[in-house]
Amino acid sequence: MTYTQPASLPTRAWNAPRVGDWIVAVASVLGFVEAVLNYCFDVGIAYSEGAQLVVISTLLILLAIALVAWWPAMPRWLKVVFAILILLDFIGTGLAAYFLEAYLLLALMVVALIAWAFTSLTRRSSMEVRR
Amino acid sequence: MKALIAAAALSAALPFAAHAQDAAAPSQDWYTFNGDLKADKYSTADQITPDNVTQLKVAWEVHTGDVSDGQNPNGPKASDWGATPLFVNGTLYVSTPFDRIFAIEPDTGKVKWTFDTKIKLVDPTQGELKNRGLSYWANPQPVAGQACQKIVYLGTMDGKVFAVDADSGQPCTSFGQNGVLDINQWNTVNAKWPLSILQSPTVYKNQVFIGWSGQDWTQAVQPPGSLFAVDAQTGKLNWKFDAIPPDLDPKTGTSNVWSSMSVDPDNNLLFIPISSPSPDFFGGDRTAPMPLSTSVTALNPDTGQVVWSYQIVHHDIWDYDTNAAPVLFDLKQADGTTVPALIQSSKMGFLFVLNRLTGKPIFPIDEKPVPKSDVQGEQASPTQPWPTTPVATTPDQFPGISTLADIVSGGYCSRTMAGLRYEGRYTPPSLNGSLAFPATAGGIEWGGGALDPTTNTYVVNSSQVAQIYKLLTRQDYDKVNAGESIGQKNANGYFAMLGAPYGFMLQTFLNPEGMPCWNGPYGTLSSYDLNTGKLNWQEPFGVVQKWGFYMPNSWGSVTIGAPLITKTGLIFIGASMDSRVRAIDEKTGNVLWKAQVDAPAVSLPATYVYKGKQYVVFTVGGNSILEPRVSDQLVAYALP
Repeated sequence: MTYTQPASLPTRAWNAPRVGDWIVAVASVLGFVEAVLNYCFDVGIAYSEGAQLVVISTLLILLAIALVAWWPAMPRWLKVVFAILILLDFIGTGLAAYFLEAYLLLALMVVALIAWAFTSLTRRSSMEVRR
Repeated sequence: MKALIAAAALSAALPFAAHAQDAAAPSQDWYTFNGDLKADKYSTADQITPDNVTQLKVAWEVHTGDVSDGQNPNGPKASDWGATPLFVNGTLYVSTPFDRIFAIEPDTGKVKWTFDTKIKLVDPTQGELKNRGLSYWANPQPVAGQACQKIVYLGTMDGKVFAVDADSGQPCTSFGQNGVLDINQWNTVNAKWPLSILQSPTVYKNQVFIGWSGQDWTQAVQPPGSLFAVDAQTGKLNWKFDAIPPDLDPKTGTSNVWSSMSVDPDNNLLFIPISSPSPDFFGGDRTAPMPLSTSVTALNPDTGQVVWSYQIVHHDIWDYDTNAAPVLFDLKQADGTTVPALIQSSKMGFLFVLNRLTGKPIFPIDEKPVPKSDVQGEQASPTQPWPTTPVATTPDQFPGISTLADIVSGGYCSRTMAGLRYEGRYTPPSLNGSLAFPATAGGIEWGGGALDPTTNTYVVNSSQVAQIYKLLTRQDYDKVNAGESIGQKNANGYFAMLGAPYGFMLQTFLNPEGMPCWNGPYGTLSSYDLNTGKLNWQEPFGVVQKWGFYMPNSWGSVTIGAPLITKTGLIFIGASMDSRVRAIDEKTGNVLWKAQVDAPAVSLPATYVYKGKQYVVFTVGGNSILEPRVSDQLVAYALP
């Protein structure tokens, strides 16, 4: 049995946040908080350049997600660019977290990455169905 | 109640009974820098085991406040804290790089008293504020009601020994002048600089044996290495030992004892590690025999007479100071007999196993031909002692250029290597630059190794550091960083060696990005069976950290400090660059537990049992040779 998107579904509904979006948002916020805490308090990496880097990278993720969420009229090509950049940021931050041995941050990035990939893919397939 | 009183009386008597300098048997105290007089860093404490070590928690921590990162131009230089805490007399004693003593309650971390030497916070010989601990003496025939029947000694950067009552923290005024003995009063030959005491003196019977540190890279002719034996209660000089033949005083100097020593009470022998002569890297003006330089030497502690000496480097022109106390043990042979033995670690990574009564090698030590010097006036030794058993902690050959470091630096590493002279171990310094591997940074540093006497398992951490040795003509030396003081040039790796025809440049072989140009591992932990001389295991140890990122475990870490071993087969060690302390399985080398501390714990840990509970305590001070991160943390771990 295949699911067919109702043709009458309003465009706004496509932009409505889904569970995956929320997971991405929450994981990103928590990732940023964790990165800041690591920078300030994690004895092994506090005040290091690496810890600084993930504070910036998680902040960029937050900003990018906020921009995408709050600007529904964003051109599609820009959305794709942001999707790729956010994806790369998740991967890069996760990799940095691995080498910083900041495993909570790494776990959050993995969760966010999976949720982001899932959401993006399902959104893409629903768009295809709508066509 | 009777049992309680008896136990209390026994515990009060124990410090005298157990540490009246003759007892070198394993104990649950930690009464010397190396745990005991044999320097084996072994404890019979058995509460913490491989099965429960993961439950270790911080029992207490103390921050002494004596720390400096050296960043304030008007403040003190960086601190460098390698002191081992002593646990004796029911108290934990530790000294700080600001030359203060803390007496601490062993179970709570509460400070009982402090003693401040109030010295000027300037190290007259070394760049940093360094301290490696305290010594302890107990009167074997204590006089009731009198102070200073138990004394804690602290040597200071300005060459003074302070004697302090172990119970009250008050100066022992009968020692030296009002409790202070200035060893610079005996610095009368080639007194180019003051003597510094950075290492805790060694105490045996009723004497304190005091070595010192200097600046053997600044001048060719310097104070001859001397060891002072003074009375434990008065500070009166009993004897003085010089490693340099007096007729060579006009040409050279040092060969001092800057590290810790060990003692065989059964055979009444004091073992001293003697450093290289000056200047460090050119020996053309000191070609006469100096058999005691860069050696391990046994002295009669009553007279200072040499019983035997074994030179581990002939005509040392690499600064391969013998830098750690030899570890004493009884080697068990296949036929069931035992041989009184010692193992001397070295900066080269070689391990010399000798009969400690005669100095004769127990395992084969070859005299191997080594490269000749191509520097005018230099006469490098044609051969060097080369132990074949046990295998060295470091490889005989340079491990090759790191591809990653080479790519990152656009080929800097391989280009530099192509211009260096390298012909294996003992490649002499040259005017074009030579590669030294292992170099003066080690190999094995001043902590030495630890030994489990029940199995004769010897465990030692070792670095693998490549450095560039380059002699500079006097003109070239003067041109380099012209206008800078000798001290500033030293800090930048340019050593004056004034009076010699050459100055010297010493650089660790890094690319411009600060990455090591050679393949790792950069540090290892090795275990040997000293009954057979066989290597049990060798594992990369510690982790290198750059910009906060932890590099792969297989790289290991350069280390300073040393391990200890407990009866339950646990190795405790800090020492690595990643500011972690670890417990390791003696049998396998596997890390069983680790904890984060405030800075690299570049020291020897101590373990002790107090009120039925075992503690492991680490001095966490950092060492800017490893990392700029410094701290003033003393942290004790115990089971909940």
